[in-house]
Amino acid sequence: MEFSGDHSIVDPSRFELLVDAHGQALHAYLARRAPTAAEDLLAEVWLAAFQARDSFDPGQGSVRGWLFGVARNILYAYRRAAARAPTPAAADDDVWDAVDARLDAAALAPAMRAALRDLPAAERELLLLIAWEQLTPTEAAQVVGIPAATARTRLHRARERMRTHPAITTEGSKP
Amino acid sequence: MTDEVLRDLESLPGWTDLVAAGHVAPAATAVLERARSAALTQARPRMEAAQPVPARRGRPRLMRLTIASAAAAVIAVVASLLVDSPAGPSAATAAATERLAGVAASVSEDSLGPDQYRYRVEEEFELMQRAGPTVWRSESWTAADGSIWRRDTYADGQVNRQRFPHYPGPVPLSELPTEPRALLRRLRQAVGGSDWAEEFSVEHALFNALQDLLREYQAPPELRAAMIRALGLLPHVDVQDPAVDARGRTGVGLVWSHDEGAFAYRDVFIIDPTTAQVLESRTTYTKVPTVEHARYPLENRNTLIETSVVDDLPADMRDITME
Repeated sequence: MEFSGDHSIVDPSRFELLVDAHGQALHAYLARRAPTAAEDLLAEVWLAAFQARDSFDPGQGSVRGWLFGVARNILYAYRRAAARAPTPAAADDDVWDAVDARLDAAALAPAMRAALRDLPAAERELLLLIAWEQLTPTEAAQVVGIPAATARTRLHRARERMRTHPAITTEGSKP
Repeated sequence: MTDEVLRDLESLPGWTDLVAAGHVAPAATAVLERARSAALTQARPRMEAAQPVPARRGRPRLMRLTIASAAAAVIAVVASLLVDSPAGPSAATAAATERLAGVAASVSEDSLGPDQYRYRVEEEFELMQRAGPTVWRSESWTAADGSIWRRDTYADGQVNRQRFPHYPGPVPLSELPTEPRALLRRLRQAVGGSDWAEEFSVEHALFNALQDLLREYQAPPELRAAMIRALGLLPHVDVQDPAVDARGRTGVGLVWSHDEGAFAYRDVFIIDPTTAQVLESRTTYTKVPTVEHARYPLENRNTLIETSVVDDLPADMRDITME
């Protein structure tokens, strides 16, 4: 049985198969960026995906990429809502903060953290979709809603920015 | 990774460490299941509605229940623990259901002849986020053997015709037990074999099943009384008295409240205290997510308009294929 086939997304009776096939990956995506809200957000992702399933166009990419795009929209809506929330804890729940906390906890080299921090947000997002979600550049482009060629250009720039970042080059020049 | 861009990225100093830093422990099955359940509880009504024309009420219909085998047996064991648990209904619920059961037992049966049908007209109402209300007319004809023909007519002129076999499975309605606990045991078998068992708790599914039986069928008085008393045996059923339906009629509401985090809703069905007929079934969502591009239900209900006994089916309903 095809659990992740494009047909499932438009066939209501098979929609549940998608829930099972992609739930773990989508939860991980959300947990990396909004660890305290991942479970609730995942439920919202499924609901939003079901509501919007007719908008999925197989000619525009994979179901996997489309679902990550839905998850991204939910995550960003959550961030916007959190930014308006009166409680500091909610307002502080920013994707970069969560990402940086994860890098810190993983003891990533400070130079790499600094280089990532200094990337334009759009480039950093693409980079992390590939590094962490194991998406292809084309899928990452689909997630953020840009042409694949644009994504590849941005990724190339990101790579060059990282490679030439002062922290990286300084660390690399140490004896 | 064979892509040139990916190869470039992989050559970055520290790339492997960056990838590793993204590792998160796989979500526990329970976590995924909760999210799945929260989503599907709300998505399923939309799945049901994803027909050529909107389906009747969002919840799966009683007529779709089938008696299944192993799954039913497993569910029945679990359910027997639940239903027979000490966590019974409140005193107010017990008193209200006993009072309504007394009324049901005293109302003489309006029996159907072999060629007659019970005709029922309901108004269906659905309200979604970011959308105006949708209202349509639902008519049903129920034969003496429990078969049901249904015709839904929508504001845009669309008509949906369906026919359902009698419920529950091979057991005629008149042979259902009239002892409330035995009735619950029998219904658990049907509920356990349906998709209701996945969508709702067993107790909630029984609440819905009894509600639909009372609404859709004119069972013998003693059986209707047993159905109402069975509701009084379920834990978590509350009473709203008085409860007013969409047409302004006053009755007694039996209530099931459900809260699972992102969503909360309240199922109420209102029973006429003088006839024990169901006047209205209503689901009101008290908590739904607010997501920019998503629409979730806020309320749906069906309200009894009229009921009578007729001697024939309309011509356009006679050749409907059984679902």
